[in-house]
Amino acid sequence: MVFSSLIFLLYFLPAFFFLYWVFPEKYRNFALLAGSAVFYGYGAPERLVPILVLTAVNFWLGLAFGRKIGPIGEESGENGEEKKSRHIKPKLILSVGVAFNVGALVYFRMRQVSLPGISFYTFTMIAYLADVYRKKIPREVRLSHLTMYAVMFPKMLCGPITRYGELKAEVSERKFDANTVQEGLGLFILGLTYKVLLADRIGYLWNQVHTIGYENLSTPYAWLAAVAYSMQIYLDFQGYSLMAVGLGRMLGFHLPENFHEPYMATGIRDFYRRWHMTLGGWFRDYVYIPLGGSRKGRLRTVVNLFAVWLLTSLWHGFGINFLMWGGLLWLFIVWERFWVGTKLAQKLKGLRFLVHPYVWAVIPVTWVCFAITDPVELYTYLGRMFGVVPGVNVKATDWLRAIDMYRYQLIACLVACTPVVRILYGKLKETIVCKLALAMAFWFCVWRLSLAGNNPFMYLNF
Amino acid sequence: MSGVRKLWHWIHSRLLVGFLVMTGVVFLVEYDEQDVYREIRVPVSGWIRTAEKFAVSNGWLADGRMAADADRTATDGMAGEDPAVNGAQWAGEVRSGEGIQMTGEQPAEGMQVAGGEQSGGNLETAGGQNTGGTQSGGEELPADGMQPAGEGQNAGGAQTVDGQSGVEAEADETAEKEVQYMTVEDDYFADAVFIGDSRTVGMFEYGGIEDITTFYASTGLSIYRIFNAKIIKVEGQRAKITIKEALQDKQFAKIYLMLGINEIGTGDIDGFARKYAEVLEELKELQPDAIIYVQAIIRVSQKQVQKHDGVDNEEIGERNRRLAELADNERVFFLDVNEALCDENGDMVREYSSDGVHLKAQYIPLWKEYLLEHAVVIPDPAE
Repeated sequence: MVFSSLIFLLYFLPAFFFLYWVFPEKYRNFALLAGSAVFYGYGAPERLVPILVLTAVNFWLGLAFGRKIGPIGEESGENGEEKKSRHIKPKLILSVGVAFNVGALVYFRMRQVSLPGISFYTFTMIAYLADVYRKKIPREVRLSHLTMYAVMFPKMLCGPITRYGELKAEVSERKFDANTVQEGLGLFILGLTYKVLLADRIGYLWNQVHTIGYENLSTPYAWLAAVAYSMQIYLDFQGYSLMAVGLGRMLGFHLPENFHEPYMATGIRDFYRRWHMTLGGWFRDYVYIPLGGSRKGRLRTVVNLFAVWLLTSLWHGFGINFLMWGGLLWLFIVWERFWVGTKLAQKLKGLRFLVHPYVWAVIPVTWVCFAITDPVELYTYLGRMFGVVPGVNVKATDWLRAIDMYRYQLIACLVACTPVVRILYGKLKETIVCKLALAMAFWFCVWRLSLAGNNPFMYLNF
Repeated sequence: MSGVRKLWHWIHSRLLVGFLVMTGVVFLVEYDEQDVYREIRVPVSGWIRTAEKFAVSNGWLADGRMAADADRTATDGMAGEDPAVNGAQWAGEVRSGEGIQMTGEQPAEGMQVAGGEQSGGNLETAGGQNTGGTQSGGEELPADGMQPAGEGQNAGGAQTVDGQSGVEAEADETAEKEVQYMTVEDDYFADAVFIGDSRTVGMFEYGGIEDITTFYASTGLSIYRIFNAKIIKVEGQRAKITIKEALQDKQFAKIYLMLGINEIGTGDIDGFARKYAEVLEELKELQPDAIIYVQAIIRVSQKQVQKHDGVDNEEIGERNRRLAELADNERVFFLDVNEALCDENGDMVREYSSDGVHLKAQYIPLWKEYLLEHAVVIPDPAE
């Protein structure tokens, strides 16, 4: 089941929240757990088995840390002394845990077992184990709590990747009243429109280009399609993330945001501090900083960055194109790091506004690498973008036709990539008109979805 | 806080949900053409009917409603059959006036676009047709696509139809006339019109003849909506007109028709053939001086076949066989364009398409060439 499907919007959502509302408070966790199981297992109940097994193993590993006494008082050995009676080396537990989760991820990917969200899930669990290891949080001793945290449907499929420490309190106790529901629902609908009315619509431009054949694209058309794809992937994923946060809010959780207007970034480094922030944060906290971050000298910094980007590429997929994507970004990031602070950079301070076109030119090229998995086709496309590959049967005005055909969608998407929507929504969300507009937007999306069938989230394969 | 304020706060915090319900009711009653709750509605109304019948048979209820119910059962039953058919997806596009758009389907892994051609099916007709129920159990060797070109083509595919399946009694007289073809240049299309779905749109975009000839084409167009879809832009007015209206305004000498890929989802081959024949009759009336080229539905490549979603070359082959029967070789001719586009297995050559269904722009000229090489010699009436 996917958020932007009719089965979720028209059946699951109302039914689940009705039951959730009707259940007495102490059983709501159970209801959420059951609902998440239905959500994930719908149509393929066998998927639940590996997930539950993974959760059980992670839970048990978390427990294994337990004989050490942590700074946040929890159950300890006898008398609260520093008794190191059961001496399982924490490092061992962590290593086993990481190996197990990563191994599971790699295994399922290689065997192409369809387990949507497995990448997000395993990273969430690794974060949990690492945080217990570092004594940031005590181990969770209630299986139901950890399971519910791990599989809750708002974040099960595509994140955001959360930290147990931040959600722990809400797992035990949270507010569920009309106000939180309304707030969450508003966000949810906003995300839904991003996905259905913006991303899905502009997505046809990229599809069209794929159908025509990359050899046929004029250079401006190739760039146009790359920009359209860039907007599509952002609006699609941001839409999903808003829906996830909104659903979380309806349940009483405060899930983290994933995006902060990435296309307003002032550089590639800045871009990745605004794009998929929970994944970036994960790599920062669990790979980059443990490796030493930027505190061990220049060369080491470059190496650490390389490690991060290598792993990020592999997380998205085992293809040359993903490595190219990551590699390109790594190059730019390293360059930016050592460029800022140079004399030339100081001199060009006045031209700082150029960072925006710089980002808008580089990022679409990287997205093209991300999107096209076949190396030959990728080469063709990039070749057409830079005039290196000769075109075949090219129509010089094809891009003008495309702009004409998609003019409204392009404008709407461009606006949505700016902070305008966030600001307006913040100001207007309490008004009655806004609420009516959201309600109508919801049904409009339903109508569009019923026409068009399903357009699954692009990140669903991860 | 006073009671009124409390009430206001209470209402205010439930506004969004309230509006959702209200607009939902309006939508479901007035605008919901796709019948989004069909999946519950059909079985539930079935249960209600069963309960009523039960009640009537026990004498608890007057039986005045039985007759009307019998009619409803027929359509509702079918409508409920296959909720998986999304259908009418591009009908929506057509309706909202996006006219000539070539949109891609099924691109690289992970990004599945709205079913598009594949889940075709047109729910506009009688509350939903049965999917997949009427697939003829595929004949082994697809007849079309096999004929060597340029050997004095005989009656399109009519001959092989005779040889392969038993010709249905009701089929048009299979033409025994031989058709003579000549090779022409692009200007042959100057008084022609191309009518069709997204494949014809591809011809419009990359055939190089959009300045010479007329196109009445739209992605998602189907044989059921060909005459009433408003897809044609007219100078000087905002509203688009239908193909029927356009054909009433302007006369052509040749009509090139290619439809059929979108209807595969509905599974009803007989209905398709029947409707196609009706459309041909109507076209003859609208354009009394025109000859009609019925083009075979272009086959798909293995890439599409391997998706196993019902759109494959057995389906297409069967339909093309039926279309070939419609040719009379006097006014209606069948052109098997697949000869130019398929390999020895009867699949579209894999390199010719990226999604398995639509030709890549650089290969559209192959199709056009085939048409140029198969222009009918119309005997001089003076002879």
